[in-house]
Amino acid sequence: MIEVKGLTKVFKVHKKEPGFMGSVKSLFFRKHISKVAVDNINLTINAGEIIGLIGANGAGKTTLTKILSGIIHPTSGSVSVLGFNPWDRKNEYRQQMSLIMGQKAQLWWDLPAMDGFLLLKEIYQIPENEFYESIEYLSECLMIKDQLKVQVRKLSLGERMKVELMAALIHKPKVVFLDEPTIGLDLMAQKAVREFIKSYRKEFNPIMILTSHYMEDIEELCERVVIIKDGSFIYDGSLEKIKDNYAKNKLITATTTEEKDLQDFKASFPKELGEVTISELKLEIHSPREKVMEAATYLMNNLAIKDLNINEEQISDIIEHIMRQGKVSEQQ
Amino acid sequence: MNNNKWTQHVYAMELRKIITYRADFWVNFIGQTIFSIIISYYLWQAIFASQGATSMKGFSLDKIIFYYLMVPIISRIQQGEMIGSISREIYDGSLNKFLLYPMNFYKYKITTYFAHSTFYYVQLWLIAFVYFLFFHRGESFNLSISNTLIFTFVISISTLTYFMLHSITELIAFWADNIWSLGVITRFIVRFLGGALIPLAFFPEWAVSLLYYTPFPYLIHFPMKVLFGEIEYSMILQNTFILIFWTIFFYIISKVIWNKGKYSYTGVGI
Repeated sequence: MIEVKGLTKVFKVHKKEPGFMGSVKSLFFRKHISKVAVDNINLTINAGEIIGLIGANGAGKTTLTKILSGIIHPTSGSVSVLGFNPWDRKNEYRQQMSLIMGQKAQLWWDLPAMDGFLLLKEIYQIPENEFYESIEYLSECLMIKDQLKVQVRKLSLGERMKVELMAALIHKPKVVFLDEPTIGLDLMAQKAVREFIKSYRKEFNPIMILTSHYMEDIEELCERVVIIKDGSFIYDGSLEKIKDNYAKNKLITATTTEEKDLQDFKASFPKELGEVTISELKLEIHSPREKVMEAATYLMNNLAIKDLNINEEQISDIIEHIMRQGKVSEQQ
Repeated sequence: MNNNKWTQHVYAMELRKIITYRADFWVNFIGQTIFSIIISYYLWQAIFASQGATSMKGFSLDKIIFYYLMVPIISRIQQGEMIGSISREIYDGSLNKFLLYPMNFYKYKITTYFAHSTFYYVQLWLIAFVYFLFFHRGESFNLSISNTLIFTFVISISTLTYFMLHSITELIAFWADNIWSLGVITRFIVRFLGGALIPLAFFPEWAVSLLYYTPFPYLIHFPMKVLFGEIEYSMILQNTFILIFWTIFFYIISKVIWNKGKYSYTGVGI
């Protein structure tokens, strides 16, 4: 279980003016600015839960992950992960935890992944048979068996991520922090990593905190999401509820046979029925739920329609909307 | 954690890594050795000739050339890993590994450091072997087995001492954007005041007696004395204890810096 109370982290960074004179000046005087990365955060995560941490770049996701994993110290507030204070860095805690950073390699670059695993076996004191079972299971799931004897630096980004995942899970941690595990991967590799995380979770049921910019990751893996903006949480609740509460619109997509009148149609479309976007012969209308039939009828009456669909809005659109809007409560 | 078997793995891994870059290793080895021989031979031959002496401050020409062969490698043994071996990890965020895995940072770093030292230690005896095979005339000095064994022991402790000093300059990287020059200056000071550039016998007496209040003579001057068999056992014991004292002293400072620095560590990126 993870419990976070009143967590704040302020970074002090020094500001340097550009150019040569700026550098000379900074030899003598330094201006420091404070950057609040995480601002008074409260969070409870129960055993076996997986949450998705969403936010723009610099919103504080990585800082929060680093504090929870014990890499950095908070400015104030308290954190308990599995009953431990992470930045005490007790071995008992570190034995049960793991952090995967998509942007940062942790394995030893100059050595084949297998050498790194063997060292981790000693560090985590994993019994021989358990270790080889884990290797077998993980490499099978990730389809990376053939690459374990290749120097890590010579692997492709996708392969590297897979061996990083193996390294992080070899000791079957109870808490796993995944910081953008699919960043920079192609669609196939992204899918493979997602599928793997899913099956790993089914098998071992750890607490997982996942940050990602890819909504597919969040949608497929997390039931609960936390949206963070400028260091504060603006939403903490189930993904389903986001849809129910915030999906005020439905999406009408239509293809028409006539090109000429589309701009006129857009101009004359009643504002209360929704917002129209056009690309070639295709139309998209984000229409309020209660007006959607009316909008569809208007559309059919005024244009020659070849094909028409009415769908729920994409979750990514809804979240983008929430992030733009700012602080909201779950009940809203 | 009581089990330290992982350090054996780290040691073996690091040795393998060093061997991977063997070209660099040999170029460094041969280049430095040849330069030391040429420079020290011509320089000291001229000095001996101008003084018209066969021995100066207890050094014959033979012995001083051997001294200049050994001393750069002793420095390299003690200075195990390159400048930047710790600071780089702070700058690029690789330090995260040590914070996340249940292993001790110092144990890990000392292990890799000693792996490098081991390699230089092998170099040292290779060079000494070549010297004794082709150049040694046997009049002025000889090495005994017991002295070389004690020398090895003293060198191991002094390597640990130097590691602790090295870790202090490297950990400054928690605050400073670049610590390279600090590392270079420290190395120069240790070499100069330790007697690597000019043997301490040639320093003024008052300077030497002052230097004995610092750790420097114990790092290079002292092991060389042991190797030449010019120091009594009781003094060896005393000096070894002084070296251990300095090691602990530097360790405490290093640990204080580490404990403070970890609050400033950002792990790269917000």
